Amino acid sequence: MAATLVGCTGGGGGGGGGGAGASKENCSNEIQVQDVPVVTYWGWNEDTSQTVDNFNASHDDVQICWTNAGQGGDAYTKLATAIQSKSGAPDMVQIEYDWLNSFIMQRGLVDMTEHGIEEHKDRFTEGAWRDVSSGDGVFAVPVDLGPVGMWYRADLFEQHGIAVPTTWDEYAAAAQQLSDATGGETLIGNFAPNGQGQHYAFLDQAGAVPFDFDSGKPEELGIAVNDEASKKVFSYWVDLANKGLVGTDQAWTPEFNTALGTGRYATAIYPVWYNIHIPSFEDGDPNAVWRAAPIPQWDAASPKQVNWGGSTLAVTTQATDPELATTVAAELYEPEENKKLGVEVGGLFLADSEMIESEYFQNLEYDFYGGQQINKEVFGPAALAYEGVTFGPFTQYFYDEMQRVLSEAIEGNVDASGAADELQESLETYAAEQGFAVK
Amino acid sequence: MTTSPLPLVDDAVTASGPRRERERVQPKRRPAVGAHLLLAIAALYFLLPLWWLIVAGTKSTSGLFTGTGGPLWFDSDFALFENIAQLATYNNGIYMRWLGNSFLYALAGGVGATVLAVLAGYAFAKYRFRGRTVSFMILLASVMVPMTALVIPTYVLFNNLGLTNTIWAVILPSLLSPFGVYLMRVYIQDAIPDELLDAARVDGSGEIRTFTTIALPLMRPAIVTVLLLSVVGGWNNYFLPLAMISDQTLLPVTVGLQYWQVQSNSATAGGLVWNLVTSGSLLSVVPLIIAFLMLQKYWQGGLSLGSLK
Repeated sequence: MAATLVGCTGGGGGGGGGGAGASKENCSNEIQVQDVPVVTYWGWNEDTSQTVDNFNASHDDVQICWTNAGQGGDAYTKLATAIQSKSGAPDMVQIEYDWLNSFIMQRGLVDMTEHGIEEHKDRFTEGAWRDVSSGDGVFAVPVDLGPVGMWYRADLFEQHGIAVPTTWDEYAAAAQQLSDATGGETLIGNFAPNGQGQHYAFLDQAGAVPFDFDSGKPEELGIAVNDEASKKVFSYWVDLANKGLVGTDQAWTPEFNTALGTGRYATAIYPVWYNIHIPSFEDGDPNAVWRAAPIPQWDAASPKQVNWGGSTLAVTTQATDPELATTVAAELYEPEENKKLGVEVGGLFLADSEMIESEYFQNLEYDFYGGQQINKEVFGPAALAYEGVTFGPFTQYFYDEMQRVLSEAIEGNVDASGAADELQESLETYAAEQGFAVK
Repeated sequence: MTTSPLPLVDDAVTASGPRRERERVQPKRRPAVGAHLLLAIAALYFLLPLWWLIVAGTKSTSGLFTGTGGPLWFDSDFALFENIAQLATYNNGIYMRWLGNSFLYALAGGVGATVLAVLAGYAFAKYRFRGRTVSFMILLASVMVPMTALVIPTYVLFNNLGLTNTIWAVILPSLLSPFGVYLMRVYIQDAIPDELLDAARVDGSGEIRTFTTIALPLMRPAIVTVLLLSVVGGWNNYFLPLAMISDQTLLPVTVGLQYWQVQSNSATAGGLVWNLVTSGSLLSVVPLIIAFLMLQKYWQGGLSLGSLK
């Protein structure tokens, strides 16, 4: 996989403010055609500087002025600040799927169906399109996805004569076998209380529908995180944790990375993008053999694929020309050349059906994984089968509360079912405080 | 006030004269082992993260996660200098730009805030004017309002002025330091007797001359303290520049490092820079540590300033 460093053109900052209609912002890229409309863009992908340059070079009617304004929770706080202030937001912005509804609620995003986005629908996977839709509206253009699979230590499974699990029952059984065979030295995996998007995918896979939200009726909200399916998921993992069969390291910490690198964990239920992370821990155990397999299923007869991560291009309600910005959002990753930049420079798993099904993409071999064609074997089919979910309108609060109750359950203060009830009550109270009519 | 549990031993003794004498003597005879232990634990508690940072700053990304030394000792691969070299070049050496911005924001904001605090503090302490009490109450109230709560209103204000995403959006709000004014007033009130100023006036010194030649030298310890506090505050400022600045080349080092950290967490290709996050954090605290060590005596004086009244 090409992992070359992309030289950001950050130092220059020369281009901005040139053309008519250009914003006061400084661009990280150079505006190539002067005196045409400029669409300002906050995005963070590694390929963006090249992708935007390509776009600008091939357009003499519009130019993109790109800035990397950060990513993650704090960057959303920044965007929310600009949206609440009624000015300062860019025309076009990169947002992850699970945050779209939060910004729809703040009336921050343009409904792209008013600007003819539907003609692009067929380019994208079913799940990705559902994830950018709310009610009758479409609020973003999908860019990439994070189909979830199981990264596993093929050497450890082989060494202990354990079959690679394909269902959650097998996974739990393998957890016991691994622990028995190694005296608890090696665990099958980890259940992070701050799993956030991972837990949402787990809930989705079990058939839970945590939120029922429609941008057409933004004052109503359905919440269901303590139904049978949700409790099944929470109980499964809390039970494994209580038996000491999985670790409970927080995600995104050195502890978890160390454990994964040194062979403490034999699997990681993570999306396709985790392929970039795993090699950075390889020094911990030079003999480690990592491979990818499909995510274990609850019911092997009717498998369900899930997604965690990926991002979209949305147009803010502060856009100077929403129609133009929508067109730019739809076309940025449309040319073949830019798709390839996304894949090879950005490391993106594009939500683009044609790309996912292409020979080129299916046949990509990943050296660190023994040349495994992970897109063909695991993640391509997963992305195509993913049906999409509905996210809630207060992502941050939901993630924080889920982490809190799961931590309590893992510490044994409450059982998994009680934790689910607690989460339900907390979300309902919060939703009512926020002025939702809870369905 | 007794500071140790020892008096329990004396419970048998009736509360009479001799007991009172003993209470006075005992704490002197016994060394305060408990207090020392507590302080040692506290010191460890505060130094451990710093030690972690020093160690982590010298590691490569794989050394950070799977190195031989564990989290609190050095890895066999000492990568500090490679990290620094990479810091100087990654993304066209934008880290150095961030450091420069932090210096600018901290010094401009710090010096400006100190000048304003000295002038305002002097006026509050030494002049009687209409509305003095009310203005000072408002000032005290604004000490209680956390900076974070003001970010959104400030953002709206600067946006209307067209100043967001410029250095002024960070420097101008940093100029206002209600706490600095408060410190200066308290200090000036005690350190500069009214009689001294009156004597100067009687001798024919104008107000400005009195202030610059007589009052100002006497304020020096407090000035240095306020300067240090506001420079450190400016250096550590996070939320304000986060909200105000979108252009990466204008970011201070605090926000820039957070960009890198999130980028490493959710990395797509080429974006894993954990080693730069740790070594960059290490480098970014060095100026503060140097400033602290060099001006230590002023800090100690300053810390107790506010507690006088």
